Amino acid sequence: MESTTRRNFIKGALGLGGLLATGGCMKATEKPSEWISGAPDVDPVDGKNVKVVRTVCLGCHSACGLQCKTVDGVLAKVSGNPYHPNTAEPHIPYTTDSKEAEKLEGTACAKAGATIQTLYNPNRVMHPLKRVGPRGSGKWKTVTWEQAYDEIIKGGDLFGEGQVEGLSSCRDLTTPADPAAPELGPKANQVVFMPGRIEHGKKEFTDRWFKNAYGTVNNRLDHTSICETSHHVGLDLCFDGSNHIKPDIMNAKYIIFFGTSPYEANFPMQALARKLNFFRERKGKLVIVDPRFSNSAAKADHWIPILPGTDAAFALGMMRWMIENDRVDKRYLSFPSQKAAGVDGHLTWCDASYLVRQDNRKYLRPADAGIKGEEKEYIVVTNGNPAGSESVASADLEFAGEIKGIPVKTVYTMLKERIFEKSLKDYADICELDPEIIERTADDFTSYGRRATVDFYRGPVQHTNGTYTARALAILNFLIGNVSWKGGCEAHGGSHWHEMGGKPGNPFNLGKELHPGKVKAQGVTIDRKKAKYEDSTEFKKNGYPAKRQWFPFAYNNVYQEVFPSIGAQYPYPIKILFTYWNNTVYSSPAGIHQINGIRDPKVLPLHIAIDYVMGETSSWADYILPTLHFLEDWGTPHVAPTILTTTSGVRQPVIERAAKDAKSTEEIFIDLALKMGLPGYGKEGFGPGDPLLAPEDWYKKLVANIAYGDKEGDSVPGDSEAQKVQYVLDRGGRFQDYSKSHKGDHTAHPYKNICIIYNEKLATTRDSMTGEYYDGLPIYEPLKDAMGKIVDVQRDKYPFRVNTYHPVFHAQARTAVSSWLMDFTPEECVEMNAADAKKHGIKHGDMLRVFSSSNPEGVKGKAFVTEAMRPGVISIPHSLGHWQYGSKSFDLDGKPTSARQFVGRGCSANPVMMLDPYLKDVCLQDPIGGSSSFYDSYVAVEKV
Amino acid sequence: METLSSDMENARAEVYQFLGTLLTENLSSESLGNILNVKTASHVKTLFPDPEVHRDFEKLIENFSEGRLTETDIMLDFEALLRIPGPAYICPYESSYRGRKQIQGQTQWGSLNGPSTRAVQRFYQNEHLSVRSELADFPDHIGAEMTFMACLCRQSAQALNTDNEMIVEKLREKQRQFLQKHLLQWSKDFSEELRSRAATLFYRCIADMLSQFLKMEIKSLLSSARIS
Repeated sequence: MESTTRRNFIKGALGLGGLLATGGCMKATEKPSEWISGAPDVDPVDGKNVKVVRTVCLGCHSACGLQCKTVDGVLAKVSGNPYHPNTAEPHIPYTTDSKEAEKLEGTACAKAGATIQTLYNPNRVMHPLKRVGPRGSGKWKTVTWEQAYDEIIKGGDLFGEGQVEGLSSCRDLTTPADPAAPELGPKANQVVFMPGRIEHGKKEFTDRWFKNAYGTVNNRLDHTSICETSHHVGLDLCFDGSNHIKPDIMNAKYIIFFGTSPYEANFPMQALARKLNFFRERKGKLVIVDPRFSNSAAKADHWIPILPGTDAAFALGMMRWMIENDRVDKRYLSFPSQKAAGVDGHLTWCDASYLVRQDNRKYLRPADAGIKGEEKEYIVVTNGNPAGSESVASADLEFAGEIKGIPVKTVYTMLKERIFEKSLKDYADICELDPEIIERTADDFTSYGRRATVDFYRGPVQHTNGTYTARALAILNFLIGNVSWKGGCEAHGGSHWHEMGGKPGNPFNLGKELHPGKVKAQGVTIDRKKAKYEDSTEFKKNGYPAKRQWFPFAYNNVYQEVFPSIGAQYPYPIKILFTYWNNTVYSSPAGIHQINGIRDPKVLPLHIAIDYVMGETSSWADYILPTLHFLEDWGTPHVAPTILTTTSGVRQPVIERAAKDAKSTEEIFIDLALKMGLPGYGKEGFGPGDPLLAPEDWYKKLVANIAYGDKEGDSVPGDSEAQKVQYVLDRGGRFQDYSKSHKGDHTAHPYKNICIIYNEKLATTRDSMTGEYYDGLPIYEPLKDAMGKIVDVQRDKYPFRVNTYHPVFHAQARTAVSSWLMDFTPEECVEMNAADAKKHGIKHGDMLRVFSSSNPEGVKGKAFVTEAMRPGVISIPHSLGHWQYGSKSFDLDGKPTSARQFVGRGCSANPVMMLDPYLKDVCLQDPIGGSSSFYDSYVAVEKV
Repeated sequence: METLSSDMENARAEVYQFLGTLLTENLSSESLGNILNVKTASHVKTLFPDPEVHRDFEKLIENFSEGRLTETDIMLDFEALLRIPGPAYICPYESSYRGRKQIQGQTQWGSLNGPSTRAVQRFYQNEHLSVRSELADFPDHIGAEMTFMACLCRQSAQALNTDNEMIVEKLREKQRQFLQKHLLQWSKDFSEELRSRAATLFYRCIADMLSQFLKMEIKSLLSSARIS
C-alpha cells in the first residue's frame, strides 16, 4: 500500500474499532489433544466427574472390548477398548499406561453404541415378580426377594393351583427319577437350568451351582443349537480338539464364505470386516455363497446365490472337479502321521491314507492286520504292503482289497467313490446353479496354494443336514493342505488364558478344586445330548425308534428340544425350570409352538425366569427375577479364532446398577445356596477362610488366573495379587501383542493334530429313530424329518424358501429396544426378489401375510422388493416382530405397565418355520449336531 | 515492500472484526446508531479508496436518517440472508460454497460440515481458539473465519510489540495460509451473492467493503512484508 493510504487505512480502521459492543465469535479454549487415530477433536466427554471403565460388549456375541465413559455415574459414551484386538489393527501394546490409553479409542459398532439405550431401557423389570393369574395370562405382582427365595426353595400352594415342590424337596441325589430306568439319573435331574446367552465366567459359576452343588445333570442347556451348533459338532468330527475355523484373513489370497456375512455378523464382526478390507486392498479374492445379496456379497468378487441347504452338494461338486483336474494336494494327504507331515513343514496330517474295514466301518488296527504297533495306531498301505501309520514316511492314497481276509479301502478311495456317485451336473442341479459356477469356484480355490480357505457359519448348518454339510465344507480345506499355514485355515486361534485355572501358572484351580463338599451329577439330560439311545432301558425294551431323538454327538445342548421334551415328560418329567436371559419362544424356529411344552403347571410345576425384561419366554414363567444388564455385570468372554493372538477380555460393571433391586445371576444363586446350605458357598465356600459370598469373590480368582498366566513366570506387572488383578481390570482384560500372531510360515497358536475325512465314531453310531448308521464321509442329504423321511414341503402350496439373518445393526432379541437402531431399520422387512414380487402382484411396501403348513395364520410384514435376493427365497431379518419385550403392556400390581410399540415393529420369520412332521411339536433338526433348522422351511405369501 | 507495524496489524484486526461481526450478529439499535452516522462514513472513506464504496455508505446513512431504511428492514435482511434458509439465503459457510454446483440453472449448495469445515477447525484449535456456537453454528461461518483472522492479526501485533520476529513471521505465514486455503477460496463468491441478494443497501455496502478489504489483503499480505 502507498504510505498515505497506509496511514489512512490505520486511521479509518481504528475508527471502526469499538463501534460494535461485542467480543466477536471466537473464544479461547484449552490446547487440544494431539492428533490421534483420525479423531483430533477434543472429546466433549471430559472432566472431573468422568470415569473410564473398560469392559466387554454383549451387543452381539463378538465380545469386543469397550471403553465406557460415565459422567456422574451415568453412562455417556461407548467406544472401543484400544487394547482389545477386535477393535483396532493393530491394537495398542498391553503395557501402554492405562490413563494415557484413555485418549485413544478402538472401534465400536452401532450395536455397542446403542447399549446405552438397552441399559437404560425403561421397560426393564425392576423388582421380583410373581404371577397372579394363570401362567401366561400377563398378570403379575411385585414381591420381595425374600418371598421369592422362600417360595422357590420351600414350594407350597404358591398359586392356588395345588402343591408345588420347591428346590429343597427336589434335591434328591439318590432316588431315580424313573425307577424303571435308573440310568436316567436321580430326581435332582428334574431341575433344569436353561440359559439363553451365557458366557464364560458366568457359565462356569452356574455349572458349579447346578452340577456340583445342587447335583443335576441339566446344569446348562444353553442356546447353541439355535445358533450354530452343527458347525461346531461338524468341525469337532473333522478335528481332534478343535471345533471352530476361520481364515487367516490378513495373509490369505482367496476366501470363500458359505452362509455367513462377515461384514454384518459372525465373530467378531468388526475384526472380520476390518481384516477383509485389508484383504481386498491387497486384491484378495472374496466369494460369498448366500441366497441373499448381503453387504458382504456387495463387496465380493463373486456372489453365488445357492439354494439353501445344498452347500454340501456344492462342496462335493468342487471336490469332483478338483480330483478330475488334479488340484488336490496328494502329497499332504499321503502323510499318515505328524512326523511324516513335519518333513514338509506341515503341523497337521490327514487320515486320507488310513484303511477302513468295510465289514464293520471301523479303521483297521494293528491287531486286525497282524502288525506290531500301538493299539490305537492306524494301518496304511505303502506300495501295496500294509504298515503302521507311524512307521512310514508316506502311504498310498488309493487302495481297495483285503488285509488278512478283511475287506478294506483307504479313506481317500472311499471319498472318491462317494464324490463320483454324482456328476458335476448332478451337484449343480441340486444347488440349482450352473455347473460352470462350481467349476470356476473350484478352479479359483485351488489357484492360490495354501493361501485359500473355505469358511462357513450358520447358513449351511442350521439345516437337518447341517453336520454333514459342515464336514463337507471343512474337508475342502484338507484337500489343499492349508490348515495352520499362514494365509490358510486357522483351526485354533490365539485362544485365551485359562481363567478357571488348572495350568501351571494359575494360582486357583477352580475347575477341579476349591469346592468343598462337591457332589457329582449323573444321568441323562432332558435333551438327551451326549447320550446313546442304545444304552437306555427304553432301547432295551422297545428298540427303534426312540420316542424322541437322542443326540450322542450334540455336546452343545439341543435347546429347541427342551421345552417339547418337558411337555412330553420325556425321558422324565421336569419339576423346576430356571431360564436365564432365555427367549426360546421368540428366537427358536417355530418357537411359538414351544410354549405348549411349558404352558401347563401340571406338567411343569415351577418356572423361574431370570431376565431383565418381560420377554416372550419369561412372560410364561411363574416368577421373574430381575437381573443385570451386561454393562452392570461380570464375565470373562472368549473370542473366535479370527483373532490369532491370545485374548482374555474381562467384563466388569461400568456403573452402579440402573435397576437398583436387580441382582446378578451369581448373587441370586449365592443367596439360594446360602439359604439351602449347598456345599461350596458361604464364608468357607472355596475352603477354610476363603469365602464365596459375592460375585467379586469368584471373579477376583478368575482375573487372578488371567493375570498370573498359564505358564510360570507369565504374570502381568504388580507386586501383589491385588495389583496384578487391577492391572488387568484397568485394561479390560489381557491381550497378547499383535506382533505375536504368527511364527514363521504358520500361525502362532496353531492346531497341530489330525485332519479327519472319515469319522469312525460317526460311522459306527446309529440314529436313534431309524436305527441306521450315520455316514462317516461327507455327504449331501436332502431335507429329512426325525424318522429320516424326505419331507414333503408342498412346494405347490408353499413356493418360497424362508431365510433369516441379522443385519449389522441388530442382534438376537435385544436390540429392538433401542430407538436409535429401530430408527434406521426399514419398516419393510419381508424381502423378496423383484421378479417374484411382480409375478404375485406385490409392490414395495405392501402388507403381506407370510404363512406355512405349521402356521396357517402366519405373520404380517411389509414387502421389501429387491433385486438382491435369489428368486424363490423370502428373507426376513431377525430381531424384529416382538410381541412382548416391552412392545406390549402387562398387568403389574393391578395396573397396566407402559409399553413402546416400536419395539414390536416388523415381523419375525421364526413363527412360520416348519414343525417336524413326525414329532409335530418341535422344528426340524439335525439328528447329529442337534442344530435347529432355520433355513429349510417353505412358506406362502399373500397381500393383505 | 510492505513494512509491518503493530498499528497496521491492529488496524487489520479491527476491520476483520468489524466485518466479521456484521456478518455474524443481528445488530442492536445502539450498534446501528454507532455505525450509521457521519463520523463512521468518514472512517469508511479513509479506509476504502474506491469512491463507490463510500458513496453507497453515505447514501445508506442518508436513507437511515430519513427513515427510508429502518432497523427492522436491516434486521429482516440479516435473517433472510444469513440465518433462515429461504429464497434469499446465501449459506454463509465455506463448505457450502466449495461444494456448490449449478444443475440446470439451479444452485445446489455443498453440504454443511464438509472437509473444509474440519480443516478450518484445526486451524482454530492450533491457536487454542474455538467458535462460540451461540453466534456461529459451524466453524467455517464467514463471520468466524473473519474473526479468526482478526485474532491472528492481534497476535502478530502483540509479537511486533515485543520484537519477536520469529513469532511474527510464523503468524504472518498462518494468516497467509488461512487466507489462501480458506477465506479467499470462497469470499469473492460470497460477496457477490451477498450483494446480489441483499434487500437493503446496508448489506450491499457490507458486501462491497468485504470485497474491497480482501482485495487489499491479497495485495499486502501475499506479497512479502518486512518488519519495521
